[in-house]
Amino acid sequence: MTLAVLLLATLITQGSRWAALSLPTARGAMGQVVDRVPVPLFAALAVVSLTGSDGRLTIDPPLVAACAGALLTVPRRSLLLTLAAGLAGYGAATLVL
Amino acid sequence: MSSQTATLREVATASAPVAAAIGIFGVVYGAAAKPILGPLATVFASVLMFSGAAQFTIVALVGAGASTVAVLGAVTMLALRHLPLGAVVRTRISGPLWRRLALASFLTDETVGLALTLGAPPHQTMLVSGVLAYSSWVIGTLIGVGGVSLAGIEDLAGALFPVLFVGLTALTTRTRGDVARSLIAALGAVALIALWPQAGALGAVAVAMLVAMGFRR
Repeated sequence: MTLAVLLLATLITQGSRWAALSLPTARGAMGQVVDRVPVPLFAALAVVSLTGSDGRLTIDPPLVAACAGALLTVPRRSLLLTLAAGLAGYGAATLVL
Repeated sequence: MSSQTATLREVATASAPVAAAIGIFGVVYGAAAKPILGPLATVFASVLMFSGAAQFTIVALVGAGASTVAVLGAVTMLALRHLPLGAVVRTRISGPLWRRLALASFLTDETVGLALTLGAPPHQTMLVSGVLAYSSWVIGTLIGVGGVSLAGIEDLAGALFPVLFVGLTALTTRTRGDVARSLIAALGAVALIALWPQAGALGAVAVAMLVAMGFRR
């Protein structure tokens, strides 16, 4: 049963990816909507990635410190700097607490 | 890094921490899935599926004795988010269908984010970051199946994802309208999670689509 389920799940997962990149490029009004999606998408994913295994938001001090460190670097608009600051915030909070 | 001159080495450098975090979760997945799916099926799933969200969901549901329909239904709900993700990156990836299909297996939240924000051509970024993430995921799974435990580092890896998405939000924000959309989407996601804790990444996509449709400035 498990192997059959995994095969079907693989078909669904990979099929959705193939479909997503096979579709024609969105144009007109839909294209404008699609162009506006990345910013709210990443902001919403940032919030969702703060949830624990029960799906609820996690208020873990090192995690909060990591996000605070990352947010401090937002004006610099550098991904590597943001990652480094986030890790530094996490490390500092872990050491202090 | 956001200029149009980013090299593949810069793409690899930016992708490496993300791939490392994905590898750590691969270890966690391998260790968790082995007693439920068996070692072969655990590795098989990572090699063919490459979807942490779907694979963790399968392990949880199979472990709880859920029906096949319930498992496949949950996987389908998670897979739906690939459609808007693909639509976003599709406008930036041209070329023949075979190339897009070859890249499709690397379509994840993280690779799309990197493809949209790093300066290199998006298809190259998806390929480099995708190969790194996929390799890390499969190797991590093998290590987890082998019996290695990474308790402690798991929390650190978990902290990388919100940090990554904060960075990606910053990189894609260019106008005051973008700032407003990011804040509204974040608040919307908080509200959605409060109402429906299992909304997950699909909920984030739904919030983003609503915000993109509703706030045009």
